[in-house]
Amino acid sequence: MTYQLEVKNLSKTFKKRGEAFYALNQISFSLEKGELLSLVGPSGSGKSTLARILVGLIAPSEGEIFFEGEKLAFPFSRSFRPRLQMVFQEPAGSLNPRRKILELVAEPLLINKVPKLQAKIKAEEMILKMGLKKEHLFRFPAQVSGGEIQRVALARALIVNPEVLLLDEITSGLDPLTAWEILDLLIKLNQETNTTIIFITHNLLFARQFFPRIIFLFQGKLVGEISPEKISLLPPAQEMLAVAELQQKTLESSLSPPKA
Amino acid sequence: MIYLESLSVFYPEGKVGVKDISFEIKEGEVVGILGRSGAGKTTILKAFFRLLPARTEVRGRIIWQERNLLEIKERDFYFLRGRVFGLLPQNAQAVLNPFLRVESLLEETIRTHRRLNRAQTRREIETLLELVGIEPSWQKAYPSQLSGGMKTRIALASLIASGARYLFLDEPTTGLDVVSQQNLVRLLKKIQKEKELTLLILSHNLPFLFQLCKKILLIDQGRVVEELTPSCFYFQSELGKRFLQTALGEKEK
Repeated sequence: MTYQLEVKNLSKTFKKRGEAFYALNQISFSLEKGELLSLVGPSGSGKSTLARILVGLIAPSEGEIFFEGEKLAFPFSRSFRPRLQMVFQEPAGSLNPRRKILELVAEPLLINKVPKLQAKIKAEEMILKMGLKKEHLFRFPAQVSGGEIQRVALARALIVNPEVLLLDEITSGLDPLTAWEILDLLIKLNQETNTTIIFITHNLLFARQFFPRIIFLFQGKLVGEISPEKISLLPPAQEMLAVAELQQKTLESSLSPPKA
Repeated sequence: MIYLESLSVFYPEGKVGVKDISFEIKEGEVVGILGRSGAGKTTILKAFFRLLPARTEVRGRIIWQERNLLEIKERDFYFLRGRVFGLLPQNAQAVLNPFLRVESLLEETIRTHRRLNRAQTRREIETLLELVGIEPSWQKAYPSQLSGGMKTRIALASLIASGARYLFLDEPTTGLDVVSQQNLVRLLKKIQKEKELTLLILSHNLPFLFQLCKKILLIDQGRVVEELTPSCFYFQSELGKRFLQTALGEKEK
């Protein structure tokens, strides 16, 4: 059987003072179409490097990526790029501050040669679908809140109908209620359109709420996996789980009212 | 003790920052303020440190040692800011001067706020680094060479270096992964105890606040929704319950 996305023995080395430094070390995993996967790991574990390789921003040092059975060659071809989209941790930095939101969301369509009017109509539809209002269309990125910016960035990624959506720490700057709303929106989208979602985070407690399958990264290595079928955890992943459980316990202690 | 008495902030464009906020921070206590983004958490700090834009109207009183901090002259407040009241701003990782090495950063703070000779300063820097758990070998490093967690700890060390007894921390956990957050909890607990500090922590990170605070205020749209007290944190408001739910993962039905 062919997977939608298959990563085989992927490694990425950077030179650090003349020595090779493994940002990623022999990573392998595979995804089926429509799957929800979360990549969890502390800062510096290689999560973002992996995401950048998957969307073709940087080339791996070793290893292969297969998309629907076909091996991907770096750099990706222009026609392939829309099929895998990524949203970054700080979308404010990737949005042109001098363009209005409607233009920003329409831009990917214009690049893909969609007529201007049609692009704008589609962009408006997508913006509204992301839970923004009509009044946001003609605002600049600096005039909306952090949660709203993330919705704009999501609309921009989704407008080209990607088959895989990669989300790199998109909720870490948001308050938990806003983060929850956005994740909820994405899970609904996954059910509707069967878009595969890879969600990168360091917050295991949060990932566990939405993602049935979780992969743990630590210092560039895969150190564990939780899925409905299996649980296998090496010590670094066990530690991450312990922190999440400690937090959960702290919170659960306040579920019941104090005894009089 | 610091006592905020019906503090209200009205921005020039007519927006209400906070309305009628009253609470007290006892000596040596750790108080948390929980709220969504835009709820007015940072506005309280800005009012306290006089960082609000010009023509902003601030009403109410902030009482400290029988003085109203909102009324004392700027010249007098200048000597309290930093020396008595320390602020760790929201993007603490970005406030470190990128051109100064760690030791110079700390030295600068000490020179500005305290009178120590060179040898004493050196020793103070070493104790500070040890306090926040950073190896002495990092003294010569530039901020860009540090990880996010280390930058936050250096910013914290610099805050303590100023000699402030009241620390105001604005979202100290942003940009930190969960393990570093847990380390920060441990560090803050230790420092607070050792130095007998009074802390006010603003955050939307529920587990973080729960582990540190004696008292938590939940604010929304500039108003206090409820106040949770030490014996047991139990939310009664709708908003508080939703905070707990999203953190715990009980999906709404």
